[in-house]
Amino acid sequence: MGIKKYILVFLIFLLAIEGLYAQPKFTNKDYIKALKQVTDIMVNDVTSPVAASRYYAYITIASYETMAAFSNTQYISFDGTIYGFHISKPKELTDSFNTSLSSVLSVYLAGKLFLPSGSSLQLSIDSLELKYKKIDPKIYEKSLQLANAMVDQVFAYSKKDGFNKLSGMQKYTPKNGLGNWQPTPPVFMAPVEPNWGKLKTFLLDSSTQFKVQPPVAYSDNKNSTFYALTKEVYLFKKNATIQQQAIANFWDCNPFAVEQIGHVEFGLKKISPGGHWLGIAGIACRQQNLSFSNTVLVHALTSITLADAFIACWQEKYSSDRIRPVTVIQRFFDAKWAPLLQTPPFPEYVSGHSVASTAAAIVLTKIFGNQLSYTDNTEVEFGIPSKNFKSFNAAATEASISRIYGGIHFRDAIDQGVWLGNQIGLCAITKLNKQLNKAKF
Amino acid sequence: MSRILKKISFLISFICFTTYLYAQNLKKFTALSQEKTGISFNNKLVETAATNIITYEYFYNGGGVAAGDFNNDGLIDLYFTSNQSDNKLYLNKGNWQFKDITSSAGVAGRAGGWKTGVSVVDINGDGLLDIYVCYSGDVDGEKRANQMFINNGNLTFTDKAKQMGIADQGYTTQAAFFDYDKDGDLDLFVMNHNIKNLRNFDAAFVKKMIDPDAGDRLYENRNGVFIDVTERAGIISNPIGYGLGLNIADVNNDGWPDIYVSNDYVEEDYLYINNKDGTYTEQLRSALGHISYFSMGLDIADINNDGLADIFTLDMLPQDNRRQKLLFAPDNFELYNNMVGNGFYHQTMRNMLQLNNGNGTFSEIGQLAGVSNTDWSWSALLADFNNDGRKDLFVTNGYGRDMINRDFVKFYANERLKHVQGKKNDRMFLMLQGIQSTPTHNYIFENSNDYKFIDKSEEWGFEEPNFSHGAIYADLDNDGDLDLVVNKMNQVAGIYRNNTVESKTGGNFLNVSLKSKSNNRNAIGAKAIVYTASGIYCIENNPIHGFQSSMQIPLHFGFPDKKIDSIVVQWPNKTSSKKITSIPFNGNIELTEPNYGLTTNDDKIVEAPLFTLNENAVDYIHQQDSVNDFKVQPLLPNMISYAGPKMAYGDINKDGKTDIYICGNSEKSGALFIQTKDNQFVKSNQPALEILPKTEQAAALFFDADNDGDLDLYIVAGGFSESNAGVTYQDELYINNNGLFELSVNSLPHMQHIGSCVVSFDFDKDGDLDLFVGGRALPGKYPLPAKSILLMNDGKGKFTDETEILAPAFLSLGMVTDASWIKNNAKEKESLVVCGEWMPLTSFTFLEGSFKNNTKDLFAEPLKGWWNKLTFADMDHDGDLDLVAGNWGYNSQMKASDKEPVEMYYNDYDNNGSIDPILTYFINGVSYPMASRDELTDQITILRQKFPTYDSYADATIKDILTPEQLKSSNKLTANYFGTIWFENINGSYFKRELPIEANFAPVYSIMVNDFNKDGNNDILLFGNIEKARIKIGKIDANYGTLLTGDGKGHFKYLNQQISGLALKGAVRDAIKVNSGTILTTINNQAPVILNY
Repeated sequence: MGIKKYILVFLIFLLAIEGLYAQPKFTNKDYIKALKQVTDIMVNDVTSPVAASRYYAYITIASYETMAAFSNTQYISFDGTIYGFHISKPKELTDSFNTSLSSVLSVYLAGKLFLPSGSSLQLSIDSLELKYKKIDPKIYEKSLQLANAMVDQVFAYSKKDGFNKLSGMQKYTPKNGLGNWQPTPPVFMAPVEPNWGKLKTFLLDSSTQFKVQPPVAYSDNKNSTFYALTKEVYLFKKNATIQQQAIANFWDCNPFAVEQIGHVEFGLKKISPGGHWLGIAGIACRQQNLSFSNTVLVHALTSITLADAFIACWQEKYSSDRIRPVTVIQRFFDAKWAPLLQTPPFPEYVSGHSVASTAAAIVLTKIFGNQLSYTDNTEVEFGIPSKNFKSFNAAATEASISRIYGGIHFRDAIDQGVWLGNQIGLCAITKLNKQLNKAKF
Repeated sequence: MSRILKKISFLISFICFTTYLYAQNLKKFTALSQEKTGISFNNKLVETAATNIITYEYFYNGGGVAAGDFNNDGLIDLYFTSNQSDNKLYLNKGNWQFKDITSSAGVAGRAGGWKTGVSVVDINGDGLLDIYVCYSGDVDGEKRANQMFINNGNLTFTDKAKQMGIADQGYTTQAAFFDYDKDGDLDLFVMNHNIKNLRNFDAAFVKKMIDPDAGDRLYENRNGVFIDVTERAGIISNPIGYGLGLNIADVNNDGWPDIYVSNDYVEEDYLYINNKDGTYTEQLRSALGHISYFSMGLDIADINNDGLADIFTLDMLPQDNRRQKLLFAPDNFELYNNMVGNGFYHQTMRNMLQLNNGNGTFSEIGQLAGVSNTDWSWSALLADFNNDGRKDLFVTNGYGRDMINRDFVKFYANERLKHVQGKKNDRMFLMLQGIQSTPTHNYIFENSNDYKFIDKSEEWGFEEPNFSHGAIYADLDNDGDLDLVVNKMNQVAGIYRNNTVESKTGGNFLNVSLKSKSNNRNAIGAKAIVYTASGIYCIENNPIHGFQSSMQIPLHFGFPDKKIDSIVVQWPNKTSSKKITSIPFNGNIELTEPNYGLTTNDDKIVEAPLFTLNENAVDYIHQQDSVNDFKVQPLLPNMISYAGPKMAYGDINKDGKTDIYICGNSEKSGALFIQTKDNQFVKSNQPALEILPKTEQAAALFFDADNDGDLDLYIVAGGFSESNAGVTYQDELYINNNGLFELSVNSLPHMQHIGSCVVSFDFDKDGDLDLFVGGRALPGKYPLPAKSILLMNDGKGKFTDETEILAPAFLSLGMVTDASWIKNNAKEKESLVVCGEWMPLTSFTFLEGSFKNNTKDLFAEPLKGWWNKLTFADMDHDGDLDLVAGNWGYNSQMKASDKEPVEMYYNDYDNNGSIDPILTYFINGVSYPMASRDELTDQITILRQKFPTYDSYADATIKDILTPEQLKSSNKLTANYFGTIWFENINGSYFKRELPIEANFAPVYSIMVNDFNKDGNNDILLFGNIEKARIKIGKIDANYGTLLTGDGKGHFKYLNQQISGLALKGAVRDAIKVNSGTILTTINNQAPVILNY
């Protein structure tokens, strides 16, 4: 008997033992872990912040709908809540399945369908199959069927949001105005997703439902407001405290900062702002010992809100098309100036992190209240120590201002970004009130 | 022994020898082992956390080689530099035996220093060769001081760099000794680089800075002591010059040494022209249209035996598809525009072969020559390795680690850094260990005719993959052919014996040693020209070639002839030259510089050129800058826009003079110019024509639309990018109202097409002029053609679209670029001949009430090309109309043939309403897509799942990209011929006739046929170039106005630019004969240029 056979026998033995514990129990940790796998793939694929927010939305909607399909009335479908979204439960399926297993499966199945490198999630599906099929093959098969049926409907719905038209649209060309956005050092990347604002929103009436104030007009006059805004960013870099630098780094959330050393050039990756806030949602769910189902709901609500926040923000970014601080500061003050953080490759106004963080914090506050203090360790794997926050709002405020510390935003883009995030967050909790009110947290 | 016996024995020994050679399966070069030669030198590199590619970015640049006879025994000795260990000096003992005498000679170099280039020179004129060793590296200044090992005459050397003032502590790559001021002693140019990478800087400011460590330096020799004259001499010495290649040559053929410095990264190369007064002027931009981006080593030599110095610079473009896909970054127009906008020059990542036109311009033809892609390359050596008279090319290459591998950049580096622990330097070092290392084989090319270099790497014995850097050629065994010596990384140096003479596979040779009584003992800077019946063979005596290497050896000439007519030597001593006529054959000759005053001036006769250029004759500057068709459709092969300005011409005011209209576009309106009696062009005030057009005016035509006896103006709407502004494309007719042109609103039907050209003809013989308007491409839907249109005139200037009824074939004719209505045969009816992109030349005749395709009657073979222009004229004095047709040419990565066509697959593969065009062409026998992984997956997003990494895409062909169903339902276009050619009319049918290769240096957009040289025969004048290409393709601008003179019998000869006087820069888009002896050309984004002849 070869060594392989020994291993096989041993595995069968192990599985048999495990089979004794027949009832698969899924906790909030299982769901959070599954979503983290999705996040890891996005980080590796260098998924842009906007694309990431869209993927999170569809994946969490799919897993929520799967979980809610045959659950009690506590969980209301997004059918009718999200614009144009209709979903039906498969009629041929009876209730002989495990909804939480099915919900986790749907995360993997949706991830496989949506993500460029999603095929690697098949391994996770295989290991679930290995673990649960032998317990009750029928329940596993049914659960898988349910997940597939719901994921397929969400996938079909996603095709109508305009995403697949983006590749055929006119690419962006930097404009020549003094105050217009220009590609930024070090690698002058092409701007990310200039037409993202044209995507269909989930909850908002349109990407322009809430109108921010126009950005402070560009001026090189030393007495102008714009000059003062620029000087503020310039001086922050000069005088930044260690704490402020740490804050900037903590909220960097740049999916691809390019490091250049001679001919050596490579990208250093971090999670996107959306990924960071889903991380925070997961921390809160675990801290409050939320049920599996409630955890799925929290992630879906946060994701949908974030997706809309990014669509609205991108609409504004490319319509105002504002210059980044690095370009102006090199022009006004110091030709060699570089910001603390690498400038992300898209126009400045308004700050995406401010919009997304503020909107997400409003949804999370609505669920968990304004008193939940927590330790945010989402960035530890990227070499950044964990950090304590008194509340979601405190975190959102810090995330917003961090962009000035980082040298990548002007103050008005933060202020108006926070305002826009507020409007979107409030709009979201109004539109989602059915789901929020029925759920028992 | 009787004569016969002698002959027999010779025959036998010859047979034995050749059998012996064949028995060894002898290639042209044989690599000799360390055991055979005794040369064990190995440039061994030890990577540590403190010393590696991250701490010193030129860690993998390797060492150099020097060749010279240090003990004057008639045998060439060798010296190698080692980056980290001892340099080595090997004495040539003859019979391929070498002896290491490094330690007794005292030339090991400084321990702890990073040794780079080496320059061998007799600096003190004592008849003994000395050695100058360059230093760099991330070490202290004292350890970087360059050394000058003075030869004591007893095979010992003493470093006297300090006393001489040339212990330069910059980060030196290479140094060159030459007599820049012609005072009889040797001066020194030291080429340095920065070891820090500057990224964020104010280009205008930094370019003017002087950096003591990174900047280049020129030293003047004053009685053996060297004085820094960098600034005074006009040498750029800024911190962004990453000098990797240095050559001295008389580039402008005025007898004075010029300097070429090739720079890595964004700083462009420098071409310093000697002002003959101790100063230089950097003139790269006026001479070269574009250059290598990450320029590395280079060589300058006469590759086409016209006596002019051609320039060849190296870069890093791989030859095979796989490495191109793995290493090539996607086109970034923002980055490129940022580079050019900041004052840097046009640069593309590939080797550039700059052919010297002798009039201050160079034609870059590296891709036509086949030498553009040799991977990450270091040394280029141009020399005649097979004694056939043409200089061949040897290239060393290879980079320690694939730092620019896209998977490393995007995925691997981050992943590995996550999993390694420790301090930053240690983590980086550990990460580096995982980067792929890909050795590549050296390239050797045989210079064939028509500027073609044939890759003989394998056949000539260079198939072994390695990492190789500095190299030299020298005749080490004095047998009459050039052997090669290569410094390799982590491997014993390569010694390659040339078997040309042994195997009698080459021509004949002559080695010429030049001597001078001046302190420039070896007559550096002299030029020797060998004249034979087959031509002239020219070599300049400069020891620095290739990369970090030098050779002070006799000049080696090969030639096919059995007799030399004469040798002329232009000595450095001003203009003296000497003809020598009694010359030994297949041997050596030593010539000594004569004393001043004894020599003749060289007998250059300066002929007046055929053409003179006037760039200020027409007060109009074409402007078009903002459109970028690639933003509409990223996978376009070329832009559709930038096809103008075209012209319309005719006698508007009936004064017997040709007037012109220059087409406008959405950034600059067109203009009408009236020619006065004294041939001046005066702008006519035409309010209707001065309104800024909404689209590019693709073409214009003066013709009498309304039969009132004067010329009206038809303008074709074209372009590509304007569709995004919601602009509709509508042609316009302007009626001539006593000289004032007014838009006739109702004369034309609603057209909504994108046109390219217009032809008037009376196809229905009703006495008025009807129109054919060629259709170009549909914006966002390339390569779907816009419809071509037949407009019928009602006799009063009102036109109706009769295409569907009378010419349904025009609706999907193809992407038309030009058309002509001709009567090509006395018997036949007239035909409409049409050409276009991806189209064969196509023709129609109006027969029985509709246009019928009669292509088969006119064109024997379907040549599908990227045609731009048709011109009919009698080329061979037989009274019928022949055809000259302008095409894409041969000077790009894409080559098309029946066997290996360029193809375009297209469809809306992802059903999102936009056409996805996938261009494929052959590389090494397999057809691959042009698009990089990112470019393709940005267009067809779903493919990201199929190709998650660059590696997964690196070998993909169209069959891997598309599913079998997609492939089946794909539409496909093919190009099998890219040549600009002429067609001979034989009884009304056209037969392909090739033109001289110079016709295919660039895409041709305009053709003039006339008897320019007034010998009674028609000549051909070609214009073209493209400047707004994909970044990967880059500018193709080798055409400065190409004149091909005809003999009246259908043969054409290229007339060189010096004699023709043509030096038109830019993308010429139209040319019109406006007077006898005067041609007016229009150029994209420039003022028109008038040519007088």
